[in-house]
Amino acid sequence: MGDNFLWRRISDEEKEDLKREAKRIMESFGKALEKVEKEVKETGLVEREEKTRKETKTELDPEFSKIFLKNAPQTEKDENGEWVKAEKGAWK
Amino acid sequence: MSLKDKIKLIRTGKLSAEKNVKYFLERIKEKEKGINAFIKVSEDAVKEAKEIDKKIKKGKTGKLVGLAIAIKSNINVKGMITSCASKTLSNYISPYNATVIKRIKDEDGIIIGMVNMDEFACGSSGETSAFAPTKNPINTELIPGGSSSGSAAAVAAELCDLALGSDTGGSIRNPASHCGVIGVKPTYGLVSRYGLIDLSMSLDQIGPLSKDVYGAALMLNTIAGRDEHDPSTFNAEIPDYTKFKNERLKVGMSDDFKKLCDEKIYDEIEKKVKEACKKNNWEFVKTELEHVDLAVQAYFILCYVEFFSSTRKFDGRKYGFKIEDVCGPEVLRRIVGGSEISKAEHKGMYYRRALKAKKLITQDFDKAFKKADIIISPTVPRLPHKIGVKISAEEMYGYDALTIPANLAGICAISIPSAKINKIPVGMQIMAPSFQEARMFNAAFAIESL
Repeated sequence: MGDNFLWRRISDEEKEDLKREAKRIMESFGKALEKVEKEVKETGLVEREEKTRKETKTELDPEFSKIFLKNAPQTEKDENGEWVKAEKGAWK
Repeated sequence: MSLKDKIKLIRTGKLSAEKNVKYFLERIKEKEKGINAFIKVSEDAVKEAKEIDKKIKKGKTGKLVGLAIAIKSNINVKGMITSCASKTLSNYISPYNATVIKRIKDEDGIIIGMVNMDEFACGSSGETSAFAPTKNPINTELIPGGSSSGSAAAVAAELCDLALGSDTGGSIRNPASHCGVIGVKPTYGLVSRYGLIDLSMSLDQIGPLSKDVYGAALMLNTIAGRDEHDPSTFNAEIPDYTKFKNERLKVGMSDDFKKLCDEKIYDEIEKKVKEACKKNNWEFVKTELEHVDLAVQAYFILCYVEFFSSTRKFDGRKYGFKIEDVCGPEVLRRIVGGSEISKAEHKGMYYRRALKAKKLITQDFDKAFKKADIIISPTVPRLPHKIGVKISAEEMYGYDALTIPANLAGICAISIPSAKINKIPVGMQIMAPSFQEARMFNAAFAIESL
């Protein structure tokens, strides 16, 4: 019957249940679509007439990087400016 | 007061933009607690209104002059928290405006706040928000529908003039139906998605919610059109949707939709359609949509995969928190489901098969629109449930069985309030071929005027 759909923190046990349920739903949905295999032939790739589109230059908003850096969990400053710091050295 | 009349009053200086905005801010203070439609009310709304009043005095006014607009929390508004109703982005301040926001501001609309929604638009009930569910203003025990739950509830409770939502499988039309307001899913490619935090990029569209058809048409006029930032937008000519015409129409209904729907709801809609046909001298025809029974299955496979892909950027490094660490159950179900499909896709059993079903449904509509100018169905196949009741994922997904086909076919659709069952509003869905929004609005206006 399932559970309610209210937001809640998920326990590790519930994570496993959700994984199993998602897999079951996708398998049943995939199976329900079996009949389309006979009705639609494979289609090839779509060829674009032009490979690139024209880009127009937009003015950069000076506030963008200010807010962007404010959103970052960690930043670092050097002589070239301020940078987003993401896992420096975490792979070592 | 109709929106058309209000705009006249503002434009002629009889009602100031400031007074209009302050009226809604007062109403939000008074009513919001019982509904939970807003996540964040804008602190700049009054200041913006004062600026617009100055423009009015100079005689320069845009289409949306002085109107208070609520924005779904997955559309970027510069300087506002664009949280997607998730802990993942609960501290994310948007550094830029989505194209639709820029267009609203260019036409002198005022952003009054960011509204609640299902977390990352994953839901059809408004219950999955990490900021607590939105309640249906018509009956606060019931779900308002989703995922644009706050947008529909804010319009229904008169906490704003207009709202924007996003619709991937029915997320504008479904809550519009349950809350008794108008909701539009534009043709895929009519409205720019630049600045929309995506659920499923091949299906998402931003659209308006309004108290009346005029308001929805006016908002679509403002936001529609080609955008360099979104290559999926078309160079389609945008007519003035607010100039409603009396057209002679062939109106189609399909038993293939009837099979998916509560009988009482379907009968109410059919009764109303026949009344509209009689009054407007429209012809009623039966149409076939053979593959719509596969829409839910195809949609959720596409949606799970595209959502999984789109959430890979939420790793907590540049902004926000890692999504898997802080999201709720429905979001996680879709992420792990999408990941499973991606792993198993080499057999072509899921995504590729869903794309084939999408093609068949598109072809069904192409054929049906040769017989009918518009196709009408109920918007939602059942009445809304009580907030917090147990419901299976498949049952929840079934709420969108009648709206998903329009997303898969890429066509336009509108939901308008049509009847009440047990005092609960029931919406009528009017679908028209791609880029025939004008025809869709003409039909909706004629039915609204019955």
